[in-house]
Amino acid sequence: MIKIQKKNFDYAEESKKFSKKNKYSGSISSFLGKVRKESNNKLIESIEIEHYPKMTKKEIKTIIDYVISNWEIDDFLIIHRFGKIDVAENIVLILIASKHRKDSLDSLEYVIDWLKVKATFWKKEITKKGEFWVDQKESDTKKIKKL
Amino acid sequence: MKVIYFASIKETLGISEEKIILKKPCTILELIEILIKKDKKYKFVFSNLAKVKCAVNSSYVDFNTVVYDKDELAFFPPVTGG
Repeated sequence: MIKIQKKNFDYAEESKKFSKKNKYSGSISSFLGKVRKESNNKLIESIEIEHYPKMTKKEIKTIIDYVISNWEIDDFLIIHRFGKIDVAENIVLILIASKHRKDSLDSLEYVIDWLKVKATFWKKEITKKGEFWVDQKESDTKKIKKL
Repeated sequence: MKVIYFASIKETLGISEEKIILKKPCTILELIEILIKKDKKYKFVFSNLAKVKCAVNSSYVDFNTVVYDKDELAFFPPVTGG
């Protein structure tokens, strides 16, 4: 399931529900992305995430379709937030269930790496010194080229 | 055609979308040339195409893609989600 939403989510609650739903899977891997309090020596107050609604879900679906074709996974959940998000709050959650750990671990890494370079979200950091759009990291695109 | 802008590009241009009348199909690069002639803000936005991505009807495309009047064209910076 893919959820693009404004409101925060409860990591423990989502993990519990997913685990219960996939009680016979041998492995569940998870990634939780949160708002850091510091970036490039600036104290972050909050971030603002903008997205292209028509395209965001479609791009994530393409990533997931590749995962389903290349790893044996039982289920997945992706939640990505947009709008204003305060420091320490959750941004993104990825849960993948599979029979064996290698499938959930490897596919999880694939999803987060590709999400960072394809899913149409843009992050702006709000600090006391001003507001700054975040640039895509060269290391993220280089990593994708190696895959 | 409908042209939409996101994030820093939207802020620089001061608009989130606009209608452009395409009398005949053209490549996105050709359309950018038309936009650049409209205002210096466009010249600034499109001065470094490595910092601009584009999508037609919500799919990534390159700048040599031909667009039609019925299309929705989006310009945005490289994404930074996750």
